[in-house]
Amino acid sequence: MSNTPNDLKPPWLIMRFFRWFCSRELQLYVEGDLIELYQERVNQKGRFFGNWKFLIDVMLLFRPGIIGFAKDIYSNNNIGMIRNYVKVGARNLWKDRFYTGINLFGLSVGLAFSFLVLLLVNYEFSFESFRQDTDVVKRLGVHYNIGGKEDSYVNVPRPLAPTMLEEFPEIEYFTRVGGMNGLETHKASFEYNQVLYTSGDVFIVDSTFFNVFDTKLLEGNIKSVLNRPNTMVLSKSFAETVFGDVNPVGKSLEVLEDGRKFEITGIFEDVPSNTHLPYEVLVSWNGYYDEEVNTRWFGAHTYAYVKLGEAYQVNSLIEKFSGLFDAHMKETFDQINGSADLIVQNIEDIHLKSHLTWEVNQNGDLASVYVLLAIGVFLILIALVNYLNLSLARNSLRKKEISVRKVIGASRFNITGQFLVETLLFVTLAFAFALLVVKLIYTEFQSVAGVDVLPFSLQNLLIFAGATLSLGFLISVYPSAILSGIRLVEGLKGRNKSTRESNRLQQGLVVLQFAISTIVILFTFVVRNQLDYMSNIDLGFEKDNVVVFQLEDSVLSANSELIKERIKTIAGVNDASFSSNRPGVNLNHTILSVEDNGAYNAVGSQFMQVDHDFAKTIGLQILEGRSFIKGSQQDSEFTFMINESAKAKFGWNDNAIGKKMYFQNDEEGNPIYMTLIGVFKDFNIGSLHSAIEPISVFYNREFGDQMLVRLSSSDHRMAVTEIEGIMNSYAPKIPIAYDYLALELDRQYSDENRLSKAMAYLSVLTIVISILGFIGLLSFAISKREAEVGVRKVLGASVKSVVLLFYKQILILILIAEVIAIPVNQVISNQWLNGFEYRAFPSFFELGLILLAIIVLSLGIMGFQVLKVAFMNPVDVIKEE
Amino acid sequence: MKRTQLGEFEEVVMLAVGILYEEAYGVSIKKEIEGRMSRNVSVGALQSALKRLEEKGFLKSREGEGTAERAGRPKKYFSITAEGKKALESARDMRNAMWNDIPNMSFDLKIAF
Repeated sequence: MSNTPNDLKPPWLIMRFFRWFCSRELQLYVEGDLIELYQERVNQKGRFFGNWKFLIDVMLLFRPGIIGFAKDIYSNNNIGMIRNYVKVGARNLWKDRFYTGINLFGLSVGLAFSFLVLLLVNYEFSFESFRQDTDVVKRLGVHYNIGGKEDSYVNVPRPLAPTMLEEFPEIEYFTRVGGMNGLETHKASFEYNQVLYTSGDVFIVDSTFFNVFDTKLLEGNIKSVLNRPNTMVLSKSFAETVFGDVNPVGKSLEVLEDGRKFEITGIFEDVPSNTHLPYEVLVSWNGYYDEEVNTRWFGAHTYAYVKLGEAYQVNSLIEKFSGLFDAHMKETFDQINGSADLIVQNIEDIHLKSHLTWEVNQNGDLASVYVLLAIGVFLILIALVNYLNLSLARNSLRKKEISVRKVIGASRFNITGQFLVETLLFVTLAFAFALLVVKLIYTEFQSVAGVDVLPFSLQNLLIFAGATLSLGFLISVYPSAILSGIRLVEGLKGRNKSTRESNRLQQGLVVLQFAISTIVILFTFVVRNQLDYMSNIDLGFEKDNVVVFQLEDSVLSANSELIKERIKTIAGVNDASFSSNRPGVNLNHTILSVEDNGAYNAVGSQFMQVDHDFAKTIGLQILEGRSFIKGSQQDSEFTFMINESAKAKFGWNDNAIGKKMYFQNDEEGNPIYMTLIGVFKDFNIGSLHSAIEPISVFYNREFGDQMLVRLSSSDHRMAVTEIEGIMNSYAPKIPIAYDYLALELDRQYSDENRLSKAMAYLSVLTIVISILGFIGLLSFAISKREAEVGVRKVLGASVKSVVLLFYKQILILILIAEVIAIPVNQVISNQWLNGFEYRAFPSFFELGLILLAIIVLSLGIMGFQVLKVAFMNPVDVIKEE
Repeated sequence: MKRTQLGEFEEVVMLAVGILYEEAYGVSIKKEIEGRMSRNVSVGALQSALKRLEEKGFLKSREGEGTAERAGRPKKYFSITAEGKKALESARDMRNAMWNDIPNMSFDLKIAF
């Protein structure tokens, strides 16, 4: 190659970069070296190689010995200036250590808690986000309207998903997910080598499960893993608990409850906790259920998930469903006067937005998350307002400094920079303290929030740090804009023209702050009040002292009557009863044809099967008629009872006793008529979020898998131990599961309870931080007016009048804040309470008391400073003038 | 008093300057070192070492001519000062002294094990 030197210039951009940073004295020589080397390399190995090496050389030249930013053109004073800002800022913070302390405490605690709250909110919103294609994976549900009773279920008839796959080309894969031991528990115990292992969630799934959900298979082939009957796959951690280091593939586990054996064909990666559908054990659907059951179109017995080709195809599924309904389901549904619609849910929406019947686990509540989010934001806001307020208040003291700086030649830009540096200094300090606080309260917060894991990642921390800094940036804007714009002469003379304006602003901010904290406190009280109300509401039965035992084991169920009679003889046991369901859990629905002026109409109703002791055991009141007679075959086959809501729904206003209905036919196809023998007083057995439902109660003589035991109010331990003993004598292997009815009922409100607990903490925090801000501002105002107070006292002002002078101002601000807070709270509370069928708003008297308490508390805390100035000796301040 | 300690790379650079005598400037020093030590020397590392040595007073420099292949940029020639020579010598003496003090035993590791 014979290039002339001119053709062989190194890339100009890199060269410019080099010239920019290289120190003047070296630049020419090094540049010469670089060009010489560059030309040589290009000639030897080509342009690309030369450019590449050149870049590397320049990068490696970027080091302390070589860098010297064009010193002879710009002065390097910037760094010195910034150093000066930091120094002056630090001195200022130290000079006003009282305010700095207040601010720092408020801001760091506020930051810490809001960080935790935001982490929690982030976690709640992160559900299903670990999956790859959440946009095309959908859950199916059905909406039934049967005899006028409408219900939305998250589960569907078993043949639905396979039929949809056949008929709808949009669906690529489906999987049904049925809970082992019923949808309600979906847990099971396994036996291996004579040891019992209770697993987490166990589901019966189609072999295409891993095509729909992208959980990684660590062992086993995705195409064949659940194909054969009686096979299952385990999660990695469950496999390790049972088998340790041994590879479990090919081994078998026995399900304790029904004695079936399953061969393990694979291991899958553990599923993170932020999913609505956690699974530890998956059992092959193939062969698990009877074929007849798999073709039943009525009812809703399994969860079903589908994977679509494209996300937008959801709509066509819903449109085409009516065709599928007509072809397969219409016949069955016509008999019961029913219709059905398809529900398709995005899986990432399920956790916070889906509250249908039979959710896999209790889902989160979007409203609660938003409430928490709002409080998290409020906390930062209040703390920042504190800072802003105090820096505004201090501004007047710094006017001289700023003016002198300006005289010397500082530009507006410089002054703004100074305040920015000061604020950032403070915010960084607060951030460091906040991290400390986070570390201290992390575990405590987790337990209050009720989450097992709160993922804490570096990314979150960085976002938080970034957000904090930009907030710091934001709050430095206003004070610096004001200060940098002051007029020199006024500043030097010490005249304050803008005081009034900035006072207004400060007062406005204080009012805002106080209003926010008052709202938070009032709302917390409303939530607490509602929860108290719900736990004390008259449910129509007596929930205290009732223990619920679960008898899912077949041995126990077979001997249930005997067990019950033995338990009844235990001292401390008042009554015992079997029931198909326990209060607090969704009941099953059925369709009854009820008598109406000689004709029979189909009406939907919930139903449960109980024995003759049920009413007595849980203290249900019978308004009309009688209860079931012990052992009566007549009663078990041809009678039933209802509650008041059912009576109203059936239209049986007078003389209800003796009315008839039927819901099944005998062998010849004739309806089996059943006669009403009694009406219960309404009892609310489900969630208080919804109204009381019509319930039909049937007599079941033989079997029950829930046993309710009413204990006398003395010590329960003895009685419970004896009951366990009796059960163990029939089924020694089974761990006995029992719980207090009252606790189970409360568990429905675990979300609300969590919310109220978290809110209680946070509301105390908000008020503390805002009172702190108030104190800072007040003591500042007092220090400015000390001389005035001195003169007043000399002229004869009493302590009382001085106290009133300051209190009057504070009181007006607080009152304005409260006046703003009351209606806002009203709106928010009503919004929240609308989610409950039974709600209680605290009386205005109670709310008034709280407001009064807030006022008294604030005035009391601030009283120290006011009294101090009121009692001072005027000589101390006046002589300084 | 200034420290007369020489770093390993600094010593190599000084020796290279000595070897090249009148012809020691950036590129030639770099090539000399690379040729003898079969390792890559970046312009940055070399230049900062040269600057350090000049500040310590071990090297002195003069401006040379600009050539076509340098696009007219002047060369900066380095030579060793008396002080630099002293520093090199003391580095060598120290090493020699240390070499001499190693007992022969410690090289006979095979016997020991």
